[in-house]
Parts: sequence; structure tokens; C-alpha cells
Amino acid sequence: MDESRWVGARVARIDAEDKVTGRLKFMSDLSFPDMLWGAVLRSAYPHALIKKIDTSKAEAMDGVVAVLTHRDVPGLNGFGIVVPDQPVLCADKVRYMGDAVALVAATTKEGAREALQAIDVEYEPLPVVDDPEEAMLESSPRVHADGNIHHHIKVERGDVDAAFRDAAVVVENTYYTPRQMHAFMETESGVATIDEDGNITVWCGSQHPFRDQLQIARALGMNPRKIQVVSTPAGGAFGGKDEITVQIYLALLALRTGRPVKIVLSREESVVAGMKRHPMKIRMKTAAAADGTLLANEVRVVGDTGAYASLGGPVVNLAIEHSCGVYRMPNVRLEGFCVYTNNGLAGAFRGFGANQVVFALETQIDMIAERLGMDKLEFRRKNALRQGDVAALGHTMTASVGTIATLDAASRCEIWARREELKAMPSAPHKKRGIGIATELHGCGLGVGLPDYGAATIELLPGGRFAVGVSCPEIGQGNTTAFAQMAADSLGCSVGDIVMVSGDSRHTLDSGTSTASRSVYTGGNAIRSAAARMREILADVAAEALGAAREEIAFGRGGVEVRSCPAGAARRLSYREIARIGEGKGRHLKAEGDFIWPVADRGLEGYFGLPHLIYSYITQVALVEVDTLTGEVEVLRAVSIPDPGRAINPAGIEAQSEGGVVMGMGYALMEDTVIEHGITKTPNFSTYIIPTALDAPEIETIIVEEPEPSGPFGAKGIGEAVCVPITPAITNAIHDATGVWITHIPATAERVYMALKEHA
Amino acid sequence: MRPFCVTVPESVEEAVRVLAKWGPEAHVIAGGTDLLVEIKEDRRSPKVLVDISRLDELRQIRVECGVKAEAGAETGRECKRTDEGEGDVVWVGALATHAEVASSPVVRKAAPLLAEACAHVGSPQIRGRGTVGGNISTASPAGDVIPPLFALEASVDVEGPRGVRSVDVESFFVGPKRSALAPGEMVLGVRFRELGPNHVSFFRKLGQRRSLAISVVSVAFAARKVRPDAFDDVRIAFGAVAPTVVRARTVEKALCGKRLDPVMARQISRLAFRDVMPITDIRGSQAYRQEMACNLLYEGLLDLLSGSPAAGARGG
Repeated sequence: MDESRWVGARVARIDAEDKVTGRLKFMSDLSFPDMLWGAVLRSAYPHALIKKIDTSKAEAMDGVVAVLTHRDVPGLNGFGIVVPDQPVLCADKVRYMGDAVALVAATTKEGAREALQAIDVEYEPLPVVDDPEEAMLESSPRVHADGNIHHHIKVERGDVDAAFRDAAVVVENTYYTPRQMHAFMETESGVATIDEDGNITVWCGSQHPFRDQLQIARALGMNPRKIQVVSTPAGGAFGGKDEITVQIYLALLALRTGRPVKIVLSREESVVAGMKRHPMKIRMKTAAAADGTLLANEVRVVGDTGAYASLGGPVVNLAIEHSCGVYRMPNVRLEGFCVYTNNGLAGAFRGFGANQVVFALETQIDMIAERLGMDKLEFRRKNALRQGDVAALGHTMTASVGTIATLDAASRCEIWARREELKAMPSAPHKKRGIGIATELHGCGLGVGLPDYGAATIELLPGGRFAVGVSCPEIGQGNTTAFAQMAADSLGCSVGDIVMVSGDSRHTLDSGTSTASRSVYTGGNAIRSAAARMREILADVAAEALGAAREEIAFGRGGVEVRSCPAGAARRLSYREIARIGEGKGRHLKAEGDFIWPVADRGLEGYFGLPHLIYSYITQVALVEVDTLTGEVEVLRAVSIPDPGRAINPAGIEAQSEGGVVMGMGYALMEDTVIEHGITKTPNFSTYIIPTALDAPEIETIIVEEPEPSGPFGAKGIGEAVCVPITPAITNAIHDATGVWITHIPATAERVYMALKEHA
Repeated sequence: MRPFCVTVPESVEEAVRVLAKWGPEAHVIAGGTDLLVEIKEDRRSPKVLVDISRLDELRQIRVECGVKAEAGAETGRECKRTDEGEGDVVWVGALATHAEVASSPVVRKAAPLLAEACAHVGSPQIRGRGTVGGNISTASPAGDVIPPLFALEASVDVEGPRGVRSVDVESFFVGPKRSALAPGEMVLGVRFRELGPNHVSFFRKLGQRRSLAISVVSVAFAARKVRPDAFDDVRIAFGAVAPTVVRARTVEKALCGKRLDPVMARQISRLAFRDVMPITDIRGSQAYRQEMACNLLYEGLLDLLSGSPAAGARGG
């Protein structure tokens, strides 16, 4: 069998046609007969005690079918991936403006919203905790009874103080990063339906249907088997739909009313209530010897996780893991705090803690290289980890390492190779050009201590096509196309013969999340395992039907044949024929496969998820032009050089890469959810600024493949890394153009202008 | 959002009648790009929307050859410029969309700065629906159509229960989102004298991104070039740096007749701080806006001095 007829090909996305024609239905497009509209009453204060909730006026309104409060939550009134500290419906206290206090179901959307206004809630406002560093003080008001430090991590290796003493260069800076929003096109939305036996189906785009199912079951006090969750397709997620969003509200309302209920958050409600990237304050002190060898890194990270934990602890852990980047760093003192405040919610977001620290680190690296008069790319190459090296957290880099290969490709790309020439040709005399580079590694999967597992099903359908089930949802990243390609090559059929089943807790096995750059690697390996078993089943059926020995059955394109048989003889069976034979015998031709991730040789006691064994690698380069009269930064060109191990679909990698570059550029230059005293000042897209197509640079993606032996066809994950180093590549380019170091992002025109003024 | 009725008048007279009858409960709607957002967010809850989109006579862009502004009787304003003879008067109807104005040969010739400004409003979708009359009626200090009209010394034709009148554009804007429109009045269009053959102009806008951007600062400039490095008849207006769009008369006076090199241009541009009084909001601080008013003007002057085409703000 041709092992990679589809893998490595630029296959069109299997969902492309339905998406561009608008035929595809997202969950917020679904409607059911007799459906009600749900709405959520959010808090009126960022921090307050609830003294009384009176729903009687709302209940008496025409068209209102149900009004629910904390008293109506049958099971645990809480959710949260790690600790369920977020109330489904607040009982005695609200901790941010997005906190849910009551739910309404009504016959119209407008009626539901009007009913919210008729709910009478009496609050006693509390002092607002909005500065994470102040929140850490014992004297601060407490967001949660146990104190405001949700999580603390400390890692120390080597002799940091001695290293700083002996170093030729030490740079120390404080960095600030913004509260980036996922800005998915489809807000948190969905529908719940309930059948006559009380079985609930929640149709809601998310990143892990099986965990949603458990969280819903826990809140409803119900057997999870009575709850089905359908998570695919999601209109974008980026980590913002990893945690529960509206699923429990939907299920509660359907359970109470016995009718389908739909909730679609407005953009403004989504901005206030939804997840964000952790704003971080990062103190970083980095040392190098005179010959440019990095000696030590001391890092202190304070992450603002907002009102509830969600994945805040793991995000700070990963910030610590990624804070020494791709470099050999023999002496480290790394400390991170994840702190509760009344500033919204922060949790999972593409990059998961790396974006913040890589921005800081890659700026430090440029500063040191400049101080030593070394070429910035060569400095990185000199210090980069190679396979077999010991990483900053003390584990050995045994898997494939792509830093050198991506740096080599960067050194040859046009904007780096011709950088002096390009710099010398700004479009106006008062504009200045610069070129910046940055690189990172990015952990794939959940890391040590969180067993990472996936499963897949393959079923031969009556017409000879295969249904391939992997639960990791399609959130727009294109994983279902990659799965279909890997399945086609594993089964010897064409992509058109694969029907993907995704993100459905009833019709797939649990393969975990579509997060952590893990779904292609996990799902692909599970498909390989299922395909091997499927082939055994097919060989059995064919051998019996053809009267041949099992060992004689060989797989070709679209079917099997008997090995010893002369070509052209009638001893060949297509998959369609095998399906018919199986059907005739009443045999269900279905196989299951699974996969458990390998883990690093060494964990960090008490810190789940650290470190990783497999990393993806990426180097990105940016050419910018800075208008010195306004501070505006235009990214003219960007080069993105990912190492995905093996590109299952190069077109898919390019799409991820281009989207990642623009997202990382928005983080560098524009995006910030501004919250003052707990109140969101940027509640929609006219104030929360994301790049448009006109802001996007010309992007070139150069794929470098360092195959990962444990990966399916050599692949590893790439979904997150693509948006990370572009941020410091841009800010380093601003420095190259103007001499100004950017330590506070986003580098808005105003910030850049004021920095230029100060610098002058 | 509260329910509302929509009425679609067949004539301006009918529209004005409905407006007069319903008073503050009625609101004119054309493209709806501002109004619908306000209705959705409950910042306005009109009972009646008067949809004027069928009033085709308000969609015209036309040249009114060599005549005085006919509706300008009330102010009696002459459009005559000092020594250049009588240029044509251009009339842009309230329903002309930004896209239509941006691509209108008449406007591009007579007032390139207005075409430039319209080309940088919002996004292609917004430019396809939003109208000049709407931008004026909303009366935002950041409205991109307004600074060019100041620099053109345009007048706004309005009609109401008491008939038609023409309001000098500078008097039309009373405060942020407040105009001189009396109850029952609506904007018919704007008129202005075309720029002379020796006039140059530009519009520049600083936004937070290259499209779909609300101006942090904008500047419109028109002047007659009397030498390669000197201007007179200088008219400059700034957007988003005061409660309304404002003329920069200090700078205008300082520029008139001066021989400019980049250093002089910089010095005179800096005088703009005397003409503006910005505030701090989510898009920019007061200090930054103040400096940007100066620098946008300076950038534009540099372009004029270097002979490069009067480049406006980037974007689309």
C-alpha cells in the first residue's frame, strides 16, 4: 500500500464547501420545534454579596416559562476543569461582572431579555480587587475565602546567584502583557434538547465533549449517560471554549421546561463573561558569558486569572516551563503566581502561558546579543537545545528538536538575508524599517502527571466508505481533514471514502480535547491503531470469503487481494464488496483503537503537566515600518517557519500559520481587553481592536520537517506555536527600526510614539 | 431594543411632515450604520423610523454652474473667493453613500479631500450603506466627512416645517452628537465651492488600524499654492480633538504666505495645539491626540512640499 498518498498532500478541507456556501450549520444556527430562548442574568457588580434574589415579577411575565436561580441547581453548584470554583448560578456572592445569577427561558429572545430586567437582586458591594500584585497581599480583600493566590510554582536548578556574579552581561526587565480575547466569530452559543425519557442533548461548540458531559452531569446530579454533548462544529474556539460556557445553563433550562432551549450570547455579553488570555507581569533577569553562552535565567511571573481558577494554574505552570524557551539554561530560578482578582476570567488560550514569557525572553535574548555585539540569529543558534540536551526544567530532550533547522531556514529567507537592504528603503523619510526574529518551542499534549490518551473508531459503511470517529472537535483548525488523510493512507482508500465523525459524546470514543497542540498527534495515532485492527477484521472477512489463508491477504487501493494470485484473477475484493459480505453475515465491521502519550523522563513533583516530552518548534521573522511621527507600526512582511514534524496537510499548516501570525500580531500591536475597577471598557469590536485583512502582512510559510518518531506519519502539533514568536519578532523589529525596546504590549501607536519621545 | 414602526415617505415634504408630527419620537434613517447600533444598544429608542432611502433626489451629486448657493439665502453667504473668479458650486445629496462620493468624478475633481475622507470611512460594507447626510446628522466629532466640509467652508441644506434653510457647516455642529437641526428638520445635502486649479488639499486620518477604524485624530487641509513652497487661502480642520470638528485658525494664519521648508512646516504644525482641546478616551490620551494633530498636519505638509500626491490616511 502507498503509505503516504494523502498524507503530505495539499488536500482541500473536507468542510470547505459547506462552510463557504453557508450550508454548514453551527450550533447557534440550530432550531427545534417548540424551542424557547434562554438568557443569563449577569452580575451588576464586579464584587458583591448577594442579599436577596426575587424572581416573582419575571415569572409572572407573559411568555416567560422558567426562571432559575442557585436554588434550582440539582447537583453541584459549580464548574471548573481543575477545581469547580465557579458557581453555575451565584448564591451568596458575585466575583466578576460576568457572574451568572439567574436564568430565564421564554418564548421569544426579546421576552427572555426583558424578563432579566424584572429580576430583583439586592447586592452589598464589596471592595474591588483589580491589581494582582496587591491581591497577593494578606491585607487585600479576598475574592475567595482561601485567599487570592490560587497557585504558586517554584523551580530552581543550579547556582543562579553564582552565575549572575560571574556573568559578563546581565539584563533585567519587567514586561507587561495584555488580556487578549479569543475573538472567535461564533460567540458562546447552543441549544439543549430533552426527550420523553429525560435524556438531554447539548448542542454547543466546545473543545472537549466528554468533559463537558461530566461537568454538566455533576451540576445536574444526573447519570452522564443520559447526557449527550455535540461539540462539532465550533465557529472558532482558540481555548476560549475549553471550559464550560453555556452548556450547563442550556441543560438546566431544558430539564426544567422539558422543551428545547437556545442561548446565543451577544458579543458584549461574551466579552464581559468569557475567557481571556492571562495578563502577566514578568520580571526577567538573564545572564550570559562574554562568549555568548547563556548562563542563568531568573523569572517571576504574576498571572491575573480573574475571578475563577479554570486552567489558570496550568497556564502559569506552562509559562514557567516555556520561560527559558529553546535555550540551554544551566541555572534557573523560576517562580510563578496565579492570582484571583475581580477582573473577568482568564484561562486557556492558544499558546497557554507561552506567549507572555516568550515575548519577555526573546526580547532579553536580543538585548544580550546586542550588548555582546553578536548576530541575533547566531546567538540563538549557539544557545539552542539539541536533541539529547537537558532542558531548563531538568528533563532530557529525547524527542525531535527543530530549532536549528528552523533557524537555518530563517537565515536564508529573503527578509533576513536582505535585511540591511530592505531596512534602507523606507517608504517616507520619517519612517523607519526594522527586521526582528524570534523562536520558541511549544509543548504538545498535557505533559507529565496528566495522563494523555486518545481513541478512535473505524467502521466500514454499507457503500464501502469508512466512518472514522475521533472526538477531538473541529473548531476550525482543520483537524478532521488531517484525520481523514491519515485514515485514508492507513486504510488504503481515498479521502473521499472517509466520513469523519467528530466531537460527539454518543457517537465517538473520548479522545480528549482539541487543545494543547494535541489533536492531530493523538487522533492520528489512535486512527493508526484502529486502522491496524480494522485491517485485521477486513482480512478475516476477505480470507473467509475468498477461501484463502489470512497471511495471503494483501491490502491495495480500495480493497484487498490474495497475494499469490496472478494479477487480474477474480481473487480481489473491494471494500464495498467486503461491506456487503459483512452485512450478509450480520457482522458489524467496526474497530476501535487507542493511544497513550509518551512522557518526559522526569516530572516536577506537585506541578501537573510539567514538563513535556514532545515539542513543536518555530522561528518567525518580521519586517516592520514605524512611522516616527505617529508611532504606527506596519508589519510589511512576515516569515513563519514551523517544524510540525511532518506536515500532514501543508495547506492546513499554512492556514494555521497565517492565522497564527495575524493573531500574534494583534497581540503585539493592538489587542487588549481593558478592565478598570472590574468594568470592561472594550465590550465590542469597535473598542476591542483586532487586525483586519488590510492590516495583515504578506506572510510566507516555510515548513521545516523534523519527523517525530512517536507521531502519526512523524507529525506533532502546531496549532499554538504559530502565534507565539511572531509577537517578539515584531517588537524586536520595532527596536531594530528605532532603538526603542518594547516591554509593554500591545505596542499601540501611542505607546510606541511615547517611547520614541522618551528615547529621543 | 424596542419595537418601532418604519414609514417610507415618497417626498421630502412628506418626510418632514412625519418628523414634525412625531417630534423626538421619530428619527430619520438612511444607511442605518450609526442608528441601528444605537437602537440595538438601547441608546436610542425611536417609535418611528422615517426611511428616506427612496428620496432619489437626495442621492444626487451635481455641479451647479457658477451660481450662488441658492438655499443660502438665509445667511446670504457668497461663495466667491478673493481673486480666482467664481468656481462651480457642487451639491452632494444627503443620501449619497461614502462609496459614491469617494468614486464620484465631480467630487474627486472639485474636492479631492472629501473623496479621500469618504474612502476611509469604516469598511467597504459601511461605505456602501452609510451616507454623507448620516455622517453629518450623527455629528460625531470623529465623523470623517466633516473636517473636509469645514475646510471647504461648505453649507448644509436642511428642510423642516418652516421650510428650507442653509446653515454654514461650522455653525451646524453644536457639541458631541449635537447639531443645529431643529425638531422636525432633516439634512438635504451639502454644497461647497469647488477648489481652484491651484488649490491643493489632503485628508489624513489616524486610526487604531487600517480599516474599520474610528479616527483618533483626523485633519483636512485645503489651500492655494502660490509658490512650490508657499500657500494662501489656507483652511484646516481637525476631527476628534474637540467637542466638535474645529477649524485651526492659528495655524491657518501662520501658514498663509510663509515660505516653507520641513523645519518651518514642523514649527507651524506645532501651533495646532492652540486650536485643539482633546480628551482622553479608550482610543487615545489627550496628550497623544494633541501631538498627533500637529504631526498629521506636518506629515501632510511634507507630502505637499515633496510634491508627492496628497496622500491621505492609509486604509480601505
